Amino acid sequence: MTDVATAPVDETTTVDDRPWLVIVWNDPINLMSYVTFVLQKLFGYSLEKATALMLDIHHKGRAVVSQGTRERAELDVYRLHEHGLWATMTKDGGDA
Amino acid sequence: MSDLSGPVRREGDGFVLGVDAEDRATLVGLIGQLRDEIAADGRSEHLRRLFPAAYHDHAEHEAEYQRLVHEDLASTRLASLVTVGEVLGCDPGSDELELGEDDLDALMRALNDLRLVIGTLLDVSEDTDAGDVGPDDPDFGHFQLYGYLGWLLEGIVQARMGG
Repeated sequence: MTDVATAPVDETTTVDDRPWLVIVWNDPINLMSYVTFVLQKLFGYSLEKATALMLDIHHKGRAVVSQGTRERAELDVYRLHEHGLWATMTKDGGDA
Repeated sequence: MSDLSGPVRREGDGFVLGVDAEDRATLVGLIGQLRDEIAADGRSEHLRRLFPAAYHDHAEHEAEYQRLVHEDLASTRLASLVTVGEVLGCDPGSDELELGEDDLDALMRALNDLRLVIGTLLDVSEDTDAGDVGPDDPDFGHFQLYGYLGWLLEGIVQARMGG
């Protein structure tokens, strides 16, 4: 059994506890109203919040619509894909 | 059907879709085609918007995600399209169709799927103006269809949002 106390600490494998960010990207096909509705339906957002996110997506090219564990983010991405939205997930560059 | 009230209205616990039987039959045909294409090869290039990448900056995670999830997403989509095809085929003698919320949402997703595929085939971009496409253009019919699907989808979204 390894002696944990003297095991070398590898800086490159420390736990990365940043959340996964779910991003929806702008696309020329989806209707703005449809995107707003899907964000409300899937995440329970108010009309104001969903509209603000949709406008961010439209004007800035993308927006972070949810965040959490990898499993949670994968589920959100799946549901967004099910509704035809262009969603991906990452640990980097959310609002950059 | 009134243009002022849009193609969908709320009635009781459900909705009424004001699309006549002939147009519904057209939609059933389109949905059937899409269903067949997904069943044959969900990875076709023009279906790419239906099955986007999940990880845009991590190839290893992306390969794993596609391996585990692609079939699941394809079969969920197929099942939903089958349901929508059946629902739209009901009441062929009537120019209106009563729908519950779940069926209306499945129709909404199906119409959006069709727009994504047709829009991809037409190479629609932010600069595309369907008004510029004249009757002589070989894509005219497809742009007409793309516009019709958008109009119908917008009507469903407005009805669902309570407008």
